Amino acid sequence: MVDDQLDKRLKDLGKRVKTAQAKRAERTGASGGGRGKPAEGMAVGVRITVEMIAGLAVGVCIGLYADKQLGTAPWLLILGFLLGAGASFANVLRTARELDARQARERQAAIDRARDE
Amino acid sequence: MPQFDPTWFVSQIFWLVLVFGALYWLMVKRALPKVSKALDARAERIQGDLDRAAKLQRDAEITAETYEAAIAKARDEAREAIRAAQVATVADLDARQDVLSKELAAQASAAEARIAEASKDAMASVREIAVGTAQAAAGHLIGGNVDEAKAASAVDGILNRQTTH
Amino acid sequence: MAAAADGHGGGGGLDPLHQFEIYPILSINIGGYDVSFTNSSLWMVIAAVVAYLIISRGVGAGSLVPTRMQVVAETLYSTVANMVRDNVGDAGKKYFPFVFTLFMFVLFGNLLGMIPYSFTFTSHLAVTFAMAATIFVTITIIGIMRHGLHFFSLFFPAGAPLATAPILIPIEIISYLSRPVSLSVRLFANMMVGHTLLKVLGSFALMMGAAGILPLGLLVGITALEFLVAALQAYVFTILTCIYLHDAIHLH
Repeated sequence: MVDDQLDKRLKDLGKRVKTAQAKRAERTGASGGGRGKPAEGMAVGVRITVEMIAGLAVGVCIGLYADKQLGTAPWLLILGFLLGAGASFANVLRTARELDARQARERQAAIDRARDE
Repeated sequence: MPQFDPTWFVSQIFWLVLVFGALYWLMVKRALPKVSKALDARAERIQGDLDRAAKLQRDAEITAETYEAAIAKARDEAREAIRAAQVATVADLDARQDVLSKELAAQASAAEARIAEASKDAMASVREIAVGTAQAAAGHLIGGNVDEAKAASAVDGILNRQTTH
Repeated sequence: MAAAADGHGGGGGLDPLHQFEIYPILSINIGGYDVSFTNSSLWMVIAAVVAYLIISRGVGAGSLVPTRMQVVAETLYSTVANMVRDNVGDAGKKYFPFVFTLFMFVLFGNLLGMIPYSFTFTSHLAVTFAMAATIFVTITIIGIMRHGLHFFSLFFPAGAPLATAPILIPIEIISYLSRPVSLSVRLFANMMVGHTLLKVLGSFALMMGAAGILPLGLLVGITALEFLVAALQAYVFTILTCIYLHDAIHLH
């Protein structure tokens, strides 16, 4: 029948328009994630290591400097070391939480994309 | 490590600030507006095209719907007309059948009346003939005249007996 | 790739650190400070020029259907734009040009450093620390300008018991101060370690002659990985800048 064909073609067109719109929404909405995976793993490792060292280093440096200025060696160095260790811990915790959040967001985006298809 | 030789620290930072500043200025003034313009133009164009496609598709759907509605309406009308014609025909047929059967009934009762009349007549003439015949036969047998009334009563008696039997 | 190996050994014998040596090209002295134009400065200029040309020439007339170079330029642009939007939000739009310039400068500093005989200015702590410190100071100023004294609530996690303040606040301050350190050390360490490794492997391959096939194969793999690291580190440097910016604007 002629109108059956017409109906089918119309439905087809509708579907095509919808997919094009969805694709566009995805492209304008989604973030530009998805980097190389092995290098990313390494980057996460390096990042957490560096965060740890940086906190400790800043604490120790402040302690050393204050000791030198005030002549209180080695007490402020020890205090700086302890606080620096705490800061390292806080840094690592924050980094891990942030990476977790990013991963969760990426996973959610992947799920959304899969559901749309 | 050469990285920790402070000889070039000042020079490096000096050139870093200079070069980065220049690059920032160039990006802001020249490069980035171009990119954002190109991207915006394309985004607008694609969005416009998509909107138009969606609108056209909607229009086409509406047209198809009106077309289908018109077809359905025409089909309904046709069906209605056929049904009405059928009803009219059946009514007409019924009416005619009625008239015909009434006519036939009238004819039949008239015929019945005629038949009854005829049979009554026939009965009457049968009696007359029987009376005559009986009178004549009796006259012959007994020689002499037989009273007509007597003959008639005899015939009636027989006839009555026959009809009661 | 073999040339890359050779390049990293260029002129330096077997010393893998020689590639980080700075030498003046044009001696300049301003106000008693030695601000000579060095090989480091030269590669900064080259990186800036390449970054500018890729964006500017790449987009060209800005045609509706992009050319190949335009795709590259637009991809770089939208990568950073998405990064800023996802990590900072709409308030970050203002800082997009700065973040973008930073990304391009670091990216091409890293990538051009892969060229044999070139110089990687991002493998110098002085440079990365100057960048990180500038970012740090700028972002802190942005935060204070936006929130005034309230900005310092960043140093005390909301909901923590008040008694823990004497410990938590110094820890949070040190943690905050460690940001430019970790930012700069990460970039510097990644670039330096990668390049040193390449150089060592390259020298190995040369020394071993015919038997150098094995380190050569390894070298090819490491070089590929180094390109990835170069891009990734630029990405991480920029994304962390965005995260710090987010903290300063939204105070967590």
